[in-house]
Amino acid sequence: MSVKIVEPEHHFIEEEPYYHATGDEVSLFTAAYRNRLPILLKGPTGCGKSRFVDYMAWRLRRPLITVACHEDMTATDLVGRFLIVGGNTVWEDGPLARAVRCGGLCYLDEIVEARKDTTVVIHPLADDRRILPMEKLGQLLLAPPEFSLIISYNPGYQSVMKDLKQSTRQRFVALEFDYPPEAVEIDIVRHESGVDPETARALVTFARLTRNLKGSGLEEGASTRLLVHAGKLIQSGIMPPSACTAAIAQVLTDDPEMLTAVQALSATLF
Amino acid sequence: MSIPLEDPPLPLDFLEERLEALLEAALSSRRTCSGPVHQLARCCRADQEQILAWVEMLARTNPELAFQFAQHAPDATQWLDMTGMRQWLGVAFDRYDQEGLHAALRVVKDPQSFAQQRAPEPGSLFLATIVHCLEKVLTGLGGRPLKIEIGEQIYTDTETLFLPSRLARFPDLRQNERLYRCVAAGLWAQTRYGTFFPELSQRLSAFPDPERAGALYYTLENHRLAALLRRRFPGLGRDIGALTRTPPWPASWQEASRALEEASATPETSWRWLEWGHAASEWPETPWHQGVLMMQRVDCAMQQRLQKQRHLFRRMVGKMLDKHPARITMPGLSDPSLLTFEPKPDGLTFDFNLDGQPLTPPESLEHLVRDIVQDLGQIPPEYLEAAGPGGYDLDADSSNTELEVWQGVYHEEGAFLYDEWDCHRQDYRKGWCVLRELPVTPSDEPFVQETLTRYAGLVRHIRRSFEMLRGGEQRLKKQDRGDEVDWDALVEALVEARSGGEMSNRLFQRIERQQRDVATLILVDMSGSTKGWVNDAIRASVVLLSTALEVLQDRYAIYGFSGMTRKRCEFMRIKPFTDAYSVDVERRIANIRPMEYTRMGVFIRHAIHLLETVEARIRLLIILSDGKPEDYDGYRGEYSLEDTRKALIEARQRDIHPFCITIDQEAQAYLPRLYGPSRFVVLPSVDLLPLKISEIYRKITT
Ligand SMILES: Nc1ncnc2c1ncn2[C@@H]1O[C@H](COP(=O)(O)OP(=O)(O)OP(=O)(O)O)[C@@H](O)[C@H]1O
Ligand SMILES: [Mg+2]
Repeated sequence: MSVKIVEPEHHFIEEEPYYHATGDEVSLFTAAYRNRLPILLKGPTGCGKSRFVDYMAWRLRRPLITVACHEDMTATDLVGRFLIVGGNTVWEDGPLARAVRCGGLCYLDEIVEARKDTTVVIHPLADDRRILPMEKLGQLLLAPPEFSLIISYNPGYQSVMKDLKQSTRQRFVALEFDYPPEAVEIDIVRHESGVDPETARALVTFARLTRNLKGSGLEEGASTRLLVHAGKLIQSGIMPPSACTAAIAQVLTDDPEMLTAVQALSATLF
Repeated sequence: MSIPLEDPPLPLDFLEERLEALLEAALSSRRTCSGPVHQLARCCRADQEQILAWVEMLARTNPELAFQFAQHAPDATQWLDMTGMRQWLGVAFDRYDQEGLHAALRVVKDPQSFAQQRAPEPGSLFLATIVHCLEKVLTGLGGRPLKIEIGEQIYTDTETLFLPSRLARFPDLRQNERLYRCVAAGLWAQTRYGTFFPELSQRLSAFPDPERAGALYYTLENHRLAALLRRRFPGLGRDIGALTRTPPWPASWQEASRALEEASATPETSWRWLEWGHAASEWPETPWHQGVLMMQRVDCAMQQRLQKQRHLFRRMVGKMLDKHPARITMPGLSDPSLLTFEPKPDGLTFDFNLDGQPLTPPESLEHLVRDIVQDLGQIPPEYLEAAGPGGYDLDADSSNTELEVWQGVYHEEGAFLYDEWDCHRQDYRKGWCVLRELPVTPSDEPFVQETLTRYAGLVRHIRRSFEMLRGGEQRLKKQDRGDEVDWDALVEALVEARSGGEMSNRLFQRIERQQRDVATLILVDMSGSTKGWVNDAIRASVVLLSTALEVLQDRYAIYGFSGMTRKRCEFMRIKPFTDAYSVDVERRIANIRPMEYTRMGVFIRHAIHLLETVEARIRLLIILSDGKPEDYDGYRGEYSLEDTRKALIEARQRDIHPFCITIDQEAQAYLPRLYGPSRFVVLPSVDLLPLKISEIYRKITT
């Protein structure tokens, strides 16, 4: 086994990622990028946001630096910090600073997971100043035109704490993502998992049935991602009902009654 | 073939009068017969009459036994057919004769175990066992929400599916369960794919024998739907094929059969073949599992629904347009043609456009449009006509409570539906309580200032002692990462390194905020039992507790609750989590007034819902009350305690800690059962409440 190591600055996506556009998101993104406007992607989990960013990075030929945001992340983690190496203090750039320096795309995934005081460090970078203050260094990084900031968030969360602050969100151009239309979703499932069109259609219909249950006992319906997973299992020889149970039903819920209902729905199709 | 019609159920006031007369000896001021009346009202006419006859017979033997029977018999019909009911009653009589009242009551109170012991046919499956799961399957299949109820016949009135109370066609439970699904899906398809349209009964009446014509139309429709289900839901189609038998159609009907099986067939296709063949000598038959047509029921449900939908639609569209800022700047927007709907491929969802601009409607409106289109195939243009200069909402008569409850289905204007635990059935009653959040009107009474003055010493003490509890900032030194260099550590490390030792890498310092991270929801009993000085003490406690919470900087919310019956549970907003403490909040605290009854479970459930939207390490639910959960419509005693207990369990399952502070001296008897041994405080006197409350809070949260 060999593991390939790439520095983020050199993380150019060389092969065209498979992305099936569902609207005018590609031209909107491109226009925003050309105008140096940061971009906010909203949408439920597993509907293709990350894949879209991969695709855009490839199209624009810029390196892509992705940061999965979490609760314990501090501004320092994004911007950079001093380290001690061999008795000397050395500055190390954080991912945000690295992206600015190399004029790449910086994708902050699930931005609401980060604490509010962390989120504000992106403010000067996300408005027309486009600067990243590096307080510890006493320097300002001016972003080159190629740099772009992309953040994602899922507005479906119930928690008030997971709302994006107005002062943050009002800096961005927002692209809304949702599960793709039926025909497109069928194509995606076919392409990503290799199943035949019949199976892909049945999987997509099944997903739609589970999405009807959102709010009536399910927090979310099955995402495109789960369909791809189920499709892959089916391609490896697993019977469709078992694949749907393992890759979809069990993933969506622990409630035994709900589980039976979701399985019954898959049984209407397979 | 004729269509059997059942008699309508007996009216509520008739039942009430009758039961009151029969059970008089068992009733008191604390026990009315409203519980049994409401139970009985849900039964069909035949069951009602039989049960009343039995109650009469029992009342002559023992009033208490009769009362309990009246209470439980309606539920028992879920598990027992009439023969079973008779046997159950017989066993109760035997026990009464041989062992006395208590033994008999045990039998009467638990019809379900009796039903189970009766050892029905092998594989026999009760609808009650799978009804929740079946409801979810129907929701998943999509379209207008449908209820499931027990019926003597299999049919739907377009809102409820009536299914047999039990199925025992197969020796295997699982097969019977699948059969239930097939039957339900068949009825669902009738409501989903257009079998019932508004002019149906009128068009049928043009035939010489409308009932017979209706029956034939129903057979043809089901044939079309069976083919449609086979195409769209192959798994379901397989099950239907394996578990049911459809008699072959006469040779003369073969062409009709093929035409109805085409993917392009619609209800109009069925209609054409009805016209073609209604005079034929031979007809195809509707198999058992497809049920029967109950045209009157369908008509009745559909007419009512259409009227309500139309009314609600105009109201909601009116509201949406009012909110839309474009309205003000663009004259002529009341022109209905500017609001348009573009159906999406599934036919039941729409893109809304206002004056050419895409519009995101509230989810409730989307559901309403879906339901209307399911009935009418489109939004009729007259629905969009502005009702007058005032816009869409001409009908100002909104006092119609039934309409309001119905709106709850569309979650309009903050109506929440909550389940309630029924300890007799050992099951939840789904969507049983209708809860609304209402603001408390601010009062001008200077109650808060007076309280702060009266308890000035205590307030000073609270400020001081709670200040110390407040989480502050802490500087963490010698860390391996941090915002700044820890110079002391660095010097130390350099010295160490010079003298040949290994240099530490813990050379940083950082500030860490030590947050208490507590969110508290205070739920204040505003029921009628908290009158006069009790009310004063409760208000004062709320004032003092908020003082403490302000100092602590914990996130908190204050709500009151009160209500009257399950359809009017009121959750009174005093301070939501998102509001800061303010003069307005003070004026609302001053107006915490005793109101009506305490239907505890539903309020706890709503508090859970609110707390779940707040992110905090510790989430607390503090209930300030006289403790006795009680409401008007039979919510008392065992039933109310069990529902409250269940709601508290639900809270704990969600990592919310409930705590009760009460002044009810009798509470010792039941609070441990509700809150556990340590999660409540009973204060010996009301005056102590304001004095102790902050202290109690401190204890709970440190
Ligand atoms: N439009 C699309 N084109 C191609 N693939 C897609 C598309 N939408 C979804 N997918 C498939 O779904 C999977 C999940 O998508 P992705 O990881 O981009 O979701 P996401 O929106 O970033 O979810 P999360 O919010 O959970 O991170 C992808 O790996 C891909 O297989
Ligand atoms: Mg992602």
